[in-house]
Amino acid sequence: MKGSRKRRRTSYVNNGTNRRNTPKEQKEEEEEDVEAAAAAAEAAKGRSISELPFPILIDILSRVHLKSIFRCRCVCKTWLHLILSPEFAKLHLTRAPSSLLLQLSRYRLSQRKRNDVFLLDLEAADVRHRDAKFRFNPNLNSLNLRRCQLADSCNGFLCLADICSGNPLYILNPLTGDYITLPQVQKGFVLCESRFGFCPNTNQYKVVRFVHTVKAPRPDEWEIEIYTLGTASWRSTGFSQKSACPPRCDCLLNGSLHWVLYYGGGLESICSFHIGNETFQTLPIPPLFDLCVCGGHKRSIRGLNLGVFDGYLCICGYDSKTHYGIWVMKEYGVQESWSKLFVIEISVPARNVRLWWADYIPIKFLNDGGLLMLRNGETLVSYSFKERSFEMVRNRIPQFFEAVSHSPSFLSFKDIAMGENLKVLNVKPR
Amino acid sequence: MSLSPSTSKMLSLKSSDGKVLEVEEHVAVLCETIKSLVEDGCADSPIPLANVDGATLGNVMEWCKKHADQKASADDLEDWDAEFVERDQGELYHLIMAANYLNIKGLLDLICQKVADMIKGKHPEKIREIFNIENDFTPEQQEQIRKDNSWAFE
Repeated sequence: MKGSRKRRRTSYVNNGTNRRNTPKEQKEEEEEDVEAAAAAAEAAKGRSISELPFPILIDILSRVHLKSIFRCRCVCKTWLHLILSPEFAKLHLTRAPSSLLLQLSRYRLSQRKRNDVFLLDLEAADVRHRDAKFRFNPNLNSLNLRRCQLADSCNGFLCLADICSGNPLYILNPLTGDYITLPQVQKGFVLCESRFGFCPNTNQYKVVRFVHTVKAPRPDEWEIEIYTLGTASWRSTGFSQKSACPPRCDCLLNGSLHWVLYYGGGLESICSFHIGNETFQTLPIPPLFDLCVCGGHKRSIRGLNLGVFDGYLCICGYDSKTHYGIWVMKEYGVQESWSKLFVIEISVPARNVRLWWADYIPIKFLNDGGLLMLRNGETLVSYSFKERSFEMVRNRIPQFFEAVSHSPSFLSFKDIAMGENLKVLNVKPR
Repeated sequence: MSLSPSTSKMLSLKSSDGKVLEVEEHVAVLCETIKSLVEDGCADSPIPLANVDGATLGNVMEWCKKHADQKASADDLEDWDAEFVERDQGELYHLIMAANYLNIKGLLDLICQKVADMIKGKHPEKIREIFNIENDFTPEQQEQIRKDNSWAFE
């Protein structure tokens, strides 16, 4: 049809050189124009999505379900290249579903199998459905994941630490299989807690490790060491009492790590460490929180938890033996802005010791209205406010696991860091 | 300038195939491209839209009209959108191109998501069939790429 339109136009050029069209001819031309346009529109109806401009195709592919992205790579060379492009990785990251990375608890090491780190898509229509679960490339096992713990994750990069000491070993993108080995320091016996974060102001990725050594001036002082991706070595920011009880869960908010500080058994304040400018800050706890938490038993801090919920810093603890309160700080740094979001009623099965003073951290509301929560950092449960009861979220995930929040991404190390010291390897056998 | 429905005047939009569509201004300004014309005061004569054919323009304005309706609830819109995107691939193609040209983020997001959902769960052969894509890998490349990615297929 396109051809016929062209022919017609050509005949016009031949006939109509150097003379004005008569009104009749003009009318004919208009009619034919309309006809031709209609014909073109008709022909264009058969257009395929694959003919869209590349930026739009990247937009579409970045919305595809994670598993399907790997299938799309096998469709044709164009799609493969689009998916491997940095533009795709950047756009995909903005749409990456918030997820949990799960690994069987280190206390069940003997039961750990190969390739047992997987991803649970928390934005899936049903987190209990198999589509919500994603297993990674089995080649990741070349890093001996069985002997690692998931320390932290940021923008799709995972910080893996030694299972015993907590010493950080690798930064890995489990989707692409790219990883770097972190420089190691011989310090004798150390205990570490490691966090991994990003400073948008300086565009730097940093590993922060809280090191407990025998050198410490006081037993409750930990040394904070920092490694900026792309640099040669760790830097120490010295010992600090503030770093006692380092963060043990995902408490990265506003570019800072957060953890609770308590002296002599009582909750004192919340401490933060800014990853960008490497300074400490103290944040207030909810007014009267210390007294209401643990039902007036000020000395007990069981069940206390700190996290991020719905973009707010969130603190959770027992109001009484059977009431668990969840508070959020609506305005960062302002004590008066702490407000109690919900209270969860805990009716504890008497013989289940594990559930006495269990701690919880809310994750998100599920489609059925249940509140998805992590219990003791090792079990996923959904709490129904209507039934006032818990339900385990199974989806064939191990009952006792370690979890870290994760946004799966296709970013490569060259997108996130520079420097001669960045030696990127891949788990793929070469 | 007030863009409320009661005071909204009519705009004429002229499609690539010469069809002229009369649309209320508060509906048409959902297209950022048209909105900037209106704001610059260049929207008096029929606005020529060289890249959008009449049928597609009609569909786009139907979407804009629904979404400009402030009485529509979020649930209602979601259901309506789900029905709106039930179209053949040619129409989706033109809607995407039009939404991109007219700069209507909501519509572009909606259709792109619809196409992404069409891809979900399908094998490469099926995706090629649906979107009429030629497999340009050599058999060796094909085997290698399948091997590298098959772990994700389950």
